[in-house]
This record gives sequence, C-alpha cells and structure tokens, in this order.
Amino acid sequence: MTNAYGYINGRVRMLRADLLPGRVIEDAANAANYAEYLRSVSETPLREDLGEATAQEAGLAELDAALSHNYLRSVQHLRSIAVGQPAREVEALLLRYDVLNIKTLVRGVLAGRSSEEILAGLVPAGTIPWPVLQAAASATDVASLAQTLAVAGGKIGGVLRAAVSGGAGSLLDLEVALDQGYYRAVLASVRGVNVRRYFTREIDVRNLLIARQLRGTAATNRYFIPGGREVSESDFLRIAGGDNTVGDPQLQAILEAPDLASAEFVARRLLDEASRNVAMSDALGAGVVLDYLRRKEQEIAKLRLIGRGKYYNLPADELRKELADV
Amino acid sequence: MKNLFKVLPILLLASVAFAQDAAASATDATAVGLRAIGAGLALGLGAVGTGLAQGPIGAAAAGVVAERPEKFGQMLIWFVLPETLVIFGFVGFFLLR
Repeated sequence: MTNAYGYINGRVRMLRADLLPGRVIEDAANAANYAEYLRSVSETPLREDLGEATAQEAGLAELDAALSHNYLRSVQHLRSIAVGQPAREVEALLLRYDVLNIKTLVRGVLAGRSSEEILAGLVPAGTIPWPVLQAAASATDVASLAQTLAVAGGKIGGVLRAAVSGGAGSLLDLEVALDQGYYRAVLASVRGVNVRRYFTREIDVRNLLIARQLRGTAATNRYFIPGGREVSESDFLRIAGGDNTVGDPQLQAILEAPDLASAEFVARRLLDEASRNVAMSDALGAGVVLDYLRRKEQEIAKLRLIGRGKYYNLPADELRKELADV
Repeated sequence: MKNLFKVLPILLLASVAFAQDAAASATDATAVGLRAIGAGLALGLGAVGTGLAQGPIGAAAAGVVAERPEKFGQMLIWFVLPETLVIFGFVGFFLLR
C-alpha cells in the first residue's frame, strides 16, 4: 500500500533544493575573471568536488573533472536511494545518458577525433561503466566501437550493435536507431502515466526535429520513432516532405522556428516545461527524479560553459547568449 | 363468570401497560447500541484516516530528514497534522457516549 516514491521523492526534492539557484549562476556569469568565477563556485555546495580546480596552475581540465565528479556523485547518490521497481525506473531514466554518450562516441569516431577529445565530451552518468566508455573512446571505427559496447554497454550498447549489424552506416541512421532503441527500452520500463506522457512528448519533439532534418531528402519512415502521441507516422512523412503544420500548437512552434538550431532551442524549452509539469503532477512517481536529473544536467552544463567563457574571457553578452541556449 | 369479566379488562390493560414498558426499554437499548456504534465509528474511522494520511507523509518526511536532519522539527509538524482527525473522532466519541 505504501508507495516507495514517497520516501525517494522526499530525498530527491531535498537534492533538488541543493541545486544552485539562478541568482548564484548569475553571480558566476557576472564574475570579472576565471579566478572570481572559481571563488563564487567555491561558495556553493559544489566546493566539496572542486578539489584541484582551485589550485594555482589549474585549468579547464581540472574544472571539467571537478564538475564531472560532482555530477557523477549526484547520480550515484540518486541510484543508491532507489530500490525495487523505482530503481528499475531510475535506471531507465539514466539510459538517456547512455544514448548521449554513445552518440558522442559515434560522432567522435566518425569524425576521427582522439580518445581524449571524445572523453571530454562524455557525461559521467548513465549505466555504462566509465572504463567501458574509456575503452570505447579509443575505437578506430564504428564497428569496433559497437563491438566494445556490445559486451558491457548495457541496453543501448546492444542497440548500437544491432544497428551496425543491420547495415546502418550514416550518422543519422545510427542516431535514429539509438533513439528508437532508447525510447523502446524506456517505455518498456517506466510505469507511471505522467512519466510515460512526458516521454511520448519527447518522442513527438524528436520526430519533428528529425522530420525537419530530413527535408530536401527522400523521406522514409525508417527514421520515425514510434511511441509518440501527437505526431503519427503519416504526419512525420508529411512534415519531412515540406508541410509545416501539426495539430498541437506548442509543437507547431518547433516547425515555425526559422532554422534547425532555433527549432532545437524551442524543443529544449518545451521539454523543460514538460519536465517541470511532470515533477509537479507526479508526486508519487518517477517524475520528480526525471526533473531533478534534467535540472542537474543543466546546472553542470551552465557552470561548464561559464567556466569556459571566463577562462577565455568571452564577452558577457556572448556568454549570456550561450547560456540562454542551455 | 361475572368476576371473570371484571378481572379480564384489568388483566388486559395490565398486559398492555407491561408491553409498553418492555417496548420502551427495548427502544432505549437500541438507541444506546446505535450510539455506541456511532461513537466507535467516529473514533475508529478517524484513526484509520489518520493512519492513511500519515503513511505517505511519514515516508516523505523520512526521506527529507535523511537528506536534511535539521528539517526534523518541521517534518514532525507535518507528520502530526493528520492527528487532528483522531481528535475530531474523539470529540464525536465523547458527544455520542
């Protein structure tokens, strides 16, 4: 009769309360230089993880390591407080980072980047162990990458292996195959109505972005991700073919954005709102965890961006514009 | 035989009078029983309601205190708020007794 999420969400709400408020991010963005930025961050709960980042000769690598450590610690803490079905749902939510990491690996390998460069872009979260990601980052081609991840790359590693075996070669083919596998796995694991509704929204948004990306090419339904609510397969093909209308007015904004970058920005804002809504309406479900993960990811991304901006003395206006995109 | 006709109405009236007394006492007993059941329900349902409310509140409060022990006092207040249902039940119980 007792809902396990009552306890878990109580803890997650407190973790969410520990996230840096907008005012602190604003202070960090207004810092005069990198040293002052580090000082403002060291006055927050992140100081425990800053470690070597505040040393005299420390640079961005130390800052990245510190922020990654904080992120990893938060995710590990979250995993430690969930047991039973909630633990399975939390693991399903963490698959998102597996998808992001594998996409980064695929892009890096296809672009011929070094393993250090690829590793710098990985998110230290998800279900794939870090040593496995490190081994995968040194792969020379997508086939060997898929081979490495097939062994210990979890569900999404298996999806990549299946896609490569199935003949997917282009970046878009692989990314869509990863998305399809990810959403299939998530929808199979997540039980709560509200969280499922969030994911159907995310699938709709992803389908619209893919359809926009496909414009000008021969539209095919193999890029369609099943599971959405508002965007059907025929809508997807219609939009990919150049049509600019969709039933939902909020989703319509994605289609009306002037370019793909603006469309992605609109999509992110839409999903942020959906995530906040699910956290409020899903008091006894995984919605609170989903929202926390999303907010934590944004917090780390903003701090990383501000750190880079201050390190390279980026003008305040430029930095503000970049921050608005996170 | 004449005496029988004189005594019979008296006996009949007496029996009716006794029957009325018995009925009155039976009605009193029913009322007392119903009041006792009502009092029991008032207290019992109040307690069940409190239990149902305190379950999730207690779980959430335990979660909050696990992360922030300094919130114990605040959580205790939230936790005991549903006790008012039992207090209302007690009021009903004493009014019906």
